[in-house]
Amino acid sequence: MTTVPIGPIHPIFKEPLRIKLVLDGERPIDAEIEMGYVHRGIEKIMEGKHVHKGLYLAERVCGICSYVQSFTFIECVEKISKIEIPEKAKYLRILTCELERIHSHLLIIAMYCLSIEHETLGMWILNSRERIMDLLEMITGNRINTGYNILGGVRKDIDKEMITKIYNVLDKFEDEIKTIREAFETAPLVKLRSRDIGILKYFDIMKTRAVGPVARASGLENSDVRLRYKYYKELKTYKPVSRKEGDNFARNIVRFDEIEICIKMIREVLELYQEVGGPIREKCEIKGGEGENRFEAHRGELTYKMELTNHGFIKRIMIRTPTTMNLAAYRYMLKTCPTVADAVATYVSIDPCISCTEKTLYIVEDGKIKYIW
Amino acid sequence: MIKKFVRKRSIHLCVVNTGGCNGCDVEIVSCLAPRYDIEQYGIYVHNNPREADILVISGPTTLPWIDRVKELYEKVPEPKIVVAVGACALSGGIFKEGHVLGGIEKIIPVDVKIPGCPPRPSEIIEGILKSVHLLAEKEKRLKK
Amino acid sequence: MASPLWYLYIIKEKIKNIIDAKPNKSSYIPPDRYRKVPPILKYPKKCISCEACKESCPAFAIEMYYNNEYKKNLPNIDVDSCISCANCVEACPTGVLEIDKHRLETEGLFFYIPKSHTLMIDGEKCVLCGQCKEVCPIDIIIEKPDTYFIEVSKCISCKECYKTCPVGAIIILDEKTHKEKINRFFELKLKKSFGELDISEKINKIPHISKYICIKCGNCKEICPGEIDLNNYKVVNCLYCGYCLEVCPTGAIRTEVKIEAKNKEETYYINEDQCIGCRICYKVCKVNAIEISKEIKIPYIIPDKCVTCGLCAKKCPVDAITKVKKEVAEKTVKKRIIENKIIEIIENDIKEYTKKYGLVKDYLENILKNKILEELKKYVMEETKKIMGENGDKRKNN
Repeated sequence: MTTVPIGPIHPIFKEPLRIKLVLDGERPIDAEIEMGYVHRGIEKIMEGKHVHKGLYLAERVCGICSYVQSFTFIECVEKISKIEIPEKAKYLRILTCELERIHSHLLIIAMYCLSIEHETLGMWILNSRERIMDLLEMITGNRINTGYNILGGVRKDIDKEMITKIYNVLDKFEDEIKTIREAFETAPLVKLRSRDIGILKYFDIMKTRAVGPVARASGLENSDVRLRYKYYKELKTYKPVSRKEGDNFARNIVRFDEIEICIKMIREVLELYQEVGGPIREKCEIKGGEGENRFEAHRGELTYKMELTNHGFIKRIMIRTPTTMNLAAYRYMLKTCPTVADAVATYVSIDPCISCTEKTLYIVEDGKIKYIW
Repeated sequence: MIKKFVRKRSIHLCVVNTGGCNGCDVEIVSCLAPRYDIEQYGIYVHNNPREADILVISGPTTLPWIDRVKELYEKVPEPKIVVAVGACALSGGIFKEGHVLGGIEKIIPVDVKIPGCPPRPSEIIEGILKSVHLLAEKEKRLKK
Repeated sequence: MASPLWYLYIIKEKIKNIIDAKPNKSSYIPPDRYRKVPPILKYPKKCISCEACKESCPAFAIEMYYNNEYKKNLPNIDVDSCISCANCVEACPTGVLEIDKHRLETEGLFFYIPKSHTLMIDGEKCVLCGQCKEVCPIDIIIEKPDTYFIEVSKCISCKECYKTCPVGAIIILDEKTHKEKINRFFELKLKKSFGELDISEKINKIPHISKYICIKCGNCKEICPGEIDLNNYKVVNCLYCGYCLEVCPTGAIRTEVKIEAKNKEETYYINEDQCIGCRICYKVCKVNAIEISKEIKIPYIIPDKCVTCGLCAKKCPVDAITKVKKEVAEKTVKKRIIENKIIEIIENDIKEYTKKYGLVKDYLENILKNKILEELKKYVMEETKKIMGENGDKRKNN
């Protein structure tokens, strides 16, 4: 029995985190996750601030899914103060959100390919991801941390030139993603390193409350919050995807499937957008109250719960991010990892985001504080 | 002179995220992508401080990182250059009131600053390439 | 340019490019909308130094510095802290700042301006002078029957109204103090949940809630061991513990309201020679600083009560009211105050005396009043002559 520490700086980790793997020979048995390197106290900074300043802090909870964070935050504020945003802004929000979902999924598939040493495929994916980043930059004005949402609507409108450009880029991108997907499915290296490795069974989901693509790859189709979200009910092209294997391969294929549905959804949203007119922002007042909003982030269910005062001050806020639950599921996946390298690849396949997760969270076992997240 | 010429074209980066929002790190990853391709300038990105020439630091330096960043800086062999990427690493950015140090400059000397939240990949590459000249100068100074 | 030197120069540049491994121009041109930090001061002449940009910045990147060229305070944006959120660009009321066409594309659209100092008008203190409305650079202060009202969503927090308000009716909700109050609230709430809250009498009055500045944060309601009804702004059941006063971020819950003048050196004074006795000023004054002299039936201002709001001077049809130093006004008004007091005492005495004579009450009252007044006049005249010498009021003799 030996313990192998991985991190806090490691080539495949984008973020600082330390995993202590307990090994029996070469087989990992258990893992202990040590956190605290990214704790900035975002929720505490937000207290007493204006909503519009908290919005930028919420965006920087995580850089990869920054738009979804701000989307859920501002929808929560609008839910509490009963503000209805104009139709145009609604479609623009969905459009940007789905574009970001594509970029986030592609990034993590690329990171997975890099972690299993399939560098060519990783570079292909990173290259086609740049197309989506261009679209994001064109619409919002920034590649990451867009600052696109504001209270009562969105920052800027898009014009006809942009719409044609989005259509053109999507056509090109769809072809690319098809070849990439084919390469991913047929490559022998990927098959060796990811099939039947890191299996999460359906019953283990219930134990760990795993969410997002991790849960959907193990057969829990209903874990998609978009099914129950008001904007997505009217979209015809939207349907959740799921697979039953629950291994590393299935998790990545679920992401590929979602990307395809995202592309269809973007096309439908653009058509709907062209039919409606009107402003992109509306005048509004913030009223005090308490409420919560759930939305499907790229990694799983994201919840914002907050209490507001009149004139829009945040009294207290609670953010529940998906990685907290998915990291708990990582322990169960380790049982089917034959080597340390596979343990690392499995870690990447759950799409961890540590900067999301590091809110102050005490887990007490036997009267002692065991984890401080 | 040959050494000077070669030195400019073989640089090792050590990327350290000191608790930022991942934005800058994602942009450094997209520097690797074929669109920007940082390796065409002879820059190799990996995370080993012992063989690095340039330390690329992002994030607002959370409290557990303070000692570790100092350790990392000492591990990098001379001549070394520190590049701070993003508003957080430069001044703490939006997290000034949080549990952060705010600005890496308070603990280690910074040679090149790249502002932006986050900066574009092309800006990051430009910043790193500008710091390459400093590397040769520092080596000269060391020899004297 | 066909000289060999020129070609040499070009070749040298190209070789330099190869050696440096650095392109002179970036090969990729960012799209129009890319918000490159920092925002630029495009039209510094238009700047009114209102600090709207500084207030709206979430990263504390902007500070105001005095510029010698334009002779006013201009914003200075710290590149290191700027996060390219473009809040400052949209908050600026005159369109000074610009970040890559952002202002041009979003001009005229609604923007809920965030700020670190939120201004609100306390309706219980407001004297309805309207000075804040005159001073406001963007005209967002609305007049309401019982108070003035700031539209918070458009306010840029320039604090001009705060500076001019004569009674301090405008309160500032600071981000920092708000945070401290919330921290204090959580401390107390933790104590309350453990049952360690010390409930002893610390205040002697039941506090009331001002509906004008209450932001309905619910701090008082949650900490109160008794009962507070926030929807109707009422304290239902009070235990006199005083914790609600500690945690209120705006000071909306309080025991008493004091309207105090900021400017304690000056006061308004009614020139009795010009006054026509219309009593508009008497009706208009909200702090009851104006009383009507029972002797000459002309209003006068009590300097101690006057808050120098200037409302009476504005409404006066003959411009009889002017601003003077407090000492000057006190000298001339003192007599009127003493007179009024004496007359009041006498009237009260007469009333009590005539209570016994029910039928002839009015008749007796009139006779007594006239007699006493005549006697008093003689007495006062002699007394004033003694005190003031020849400077005594001449009208008294008539």
